[in-house]
Amino acid sequence: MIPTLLVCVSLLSAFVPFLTRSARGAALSSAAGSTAVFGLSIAVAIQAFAASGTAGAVWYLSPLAGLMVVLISFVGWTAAIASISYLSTEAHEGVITARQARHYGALAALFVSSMLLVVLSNNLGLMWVALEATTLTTALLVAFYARRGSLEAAWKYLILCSMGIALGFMGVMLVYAAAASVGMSGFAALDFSALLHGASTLPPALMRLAFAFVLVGFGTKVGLVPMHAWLPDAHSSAPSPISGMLSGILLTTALFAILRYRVLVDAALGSTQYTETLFLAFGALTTVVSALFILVQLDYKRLLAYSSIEHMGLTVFALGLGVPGAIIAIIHLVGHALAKPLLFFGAGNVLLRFQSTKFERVWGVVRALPYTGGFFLFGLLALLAVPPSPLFMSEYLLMATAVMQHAYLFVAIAVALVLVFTGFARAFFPFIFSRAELPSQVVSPEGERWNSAHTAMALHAGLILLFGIALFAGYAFPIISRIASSLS
Amino acid sequence: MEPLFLIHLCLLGAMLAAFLMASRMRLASLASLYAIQALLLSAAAALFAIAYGDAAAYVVAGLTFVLKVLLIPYWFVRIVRAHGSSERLMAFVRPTLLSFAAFTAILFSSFVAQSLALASGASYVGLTASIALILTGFLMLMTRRDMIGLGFGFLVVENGVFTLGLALTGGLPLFIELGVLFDLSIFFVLLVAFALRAQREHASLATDYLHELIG
Repeated sequence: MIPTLLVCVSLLSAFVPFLTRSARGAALSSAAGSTAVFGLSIAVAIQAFAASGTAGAVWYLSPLAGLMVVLISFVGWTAAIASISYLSTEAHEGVITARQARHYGALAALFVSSMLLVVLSNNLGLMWVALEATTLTTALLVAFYARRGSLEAAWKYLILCSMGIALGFMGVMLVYAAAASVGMSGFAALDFSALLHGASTLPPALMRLAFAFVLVGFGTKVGLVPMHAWLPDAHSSAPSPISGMLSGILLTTALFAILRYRVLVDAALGSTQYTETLFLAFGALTTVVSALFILVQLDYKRLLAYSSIEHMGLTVFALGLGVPGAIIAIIHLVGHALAKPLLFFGAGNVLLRFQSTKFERVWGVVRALPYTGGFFLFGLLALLAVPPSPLFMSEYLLMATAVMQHAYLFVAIAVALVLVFTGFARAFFPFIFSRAELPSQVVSPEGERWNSAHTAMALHAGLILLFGIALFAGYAFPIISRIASSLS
Repeated sequence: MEPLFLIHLCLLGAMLAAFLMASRMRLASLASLYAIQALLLSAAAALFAIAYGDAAAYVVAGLTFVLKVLLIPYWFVRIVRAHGSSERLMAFVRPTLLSFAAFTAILFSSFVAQSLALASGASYVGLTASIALILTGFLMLMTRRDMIGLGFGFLVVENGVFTLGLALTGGLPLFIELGVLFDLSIFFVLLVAFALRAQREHASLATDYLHELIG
């Protein structure tokens, strides 16, 4: 009942911006709608934690699904808050119209609704439809601006992700064929809870093939190398609050879809070796390649986008490390989902003031924008795994586990992490701290006023700190272990 | 004649249409071949419905006919003409080479389908046709240099996935098929919207203008 209400409210909130007249009104109404969605998501999460693996005809609630629901609606909520100042400024400067702001609010709400459908759906077919809907709802947001490169980014995003999802659909059909071969039929043959119940009887050859298609297909949306080409373009071209949602939760949502299949395939094969080998290979490749790209980036939004690829690589790599790897992956996903939107919201404020996303045109952010610069620095340190960041805990555990199991891959990941740190330090040190004279159009006599994006960043920073402390104090591990149990 | 024989005939016809589409360089020709391919696939779905008494398959066949045979080709051609875009399409390689590559793809499909038919117990002809459609669609996506060609490439891949569904499972549950068709409709709308924007911004649908974001 509550999941149905959550999805309905989320869908209805897409219509609310059309009741307003101004860009600010559209943004405020979107924020109000997403506040309601976030409130309901907490109720769904509590239900999911209380009764692990509850399956209805339509919804499947597990602790992992509960976590995902809260993450999606939280980032959707903070992105809507950040959008208030972002859209108001853009409308004030004549970059966008009130009509565009209404479309933005509606598409963002539909985007959140489709992600909620992905993580809550009990039917693998419906989950696929919802995952494709995330591409379709966000393609117009990637093409939101009439800037050079926006159309190219949106076009690549639409074609490459739709291709990936089409390949993933072949995996869905192979699972359906596998279920049909053991006597399941109709809607039930794609019902996750029913498939889970009879997973050990599913034909291994078909399930193995299905997982390969699902991993490559949905992996395109996760940003796994070599299917990642769309990601840096789309994430850097979209409005910054949307970039935060794309990087923070969309990639995680697509990975969640892969994990649903992983549970089935492991049960059908009677072993985790097949899926773990694929995860290790794709994870290591993704981390190393993205680290090399991070070293040469000239654009701060693109660098953040490549960093998302790197973190997805680390998460997927962790998933190949057995039971401890599942716990590490959950910590990493949550840490990344909190840190990356903070940075993109900050990047939005920087872009609005400096009117550029190029490092060569942006420096001394902490002097020009003290609030934004402070939060941005905090987010960077969290992303670079400086304690007490949750990402420190996950990366420390990851390396400690990897060195025992796969020494060569450990070396590759360690080198990649050093490259990432170097790339970030090289690019962001002058970006934040440079003492060079600021461009005249950037200097404002009244300094920087606190705006809604700062509120959103403060919410993320607070949660990063809380989560990090809870991990270091050991309070979070029982909950994380319970969530990770959904993965086996 | 046996319905299964007719279904196989339709699927082989759809494969032939894909082979021809790979090397077509005019919009009207590509759109007509796509409509023929979709007509054959909706006929296959309808025959399947008759053979197995599956009421849901009738609905899927009907909706596929309306969307893919009538609406998509008609609107594609109409919108492109209304906005004065060139109907002459472009590719990186010559049409003869494309024909040869498409033929190779079909040959390759027939080999791959053998092992998949053994593993899944599905129809060999259906699997060959579906894999051939998917590979030919990929071929178009790799070799075309304009948004129309790329769009049709994706639509051929989607038809291949639809065929795979027919061959493997006799079609997915109606609710899922409706979702897929809905997503396809939205995809088509976005495809056209982006193509029109490209025409406005660059006075061309060539993807040569979309190479700024690198690295």
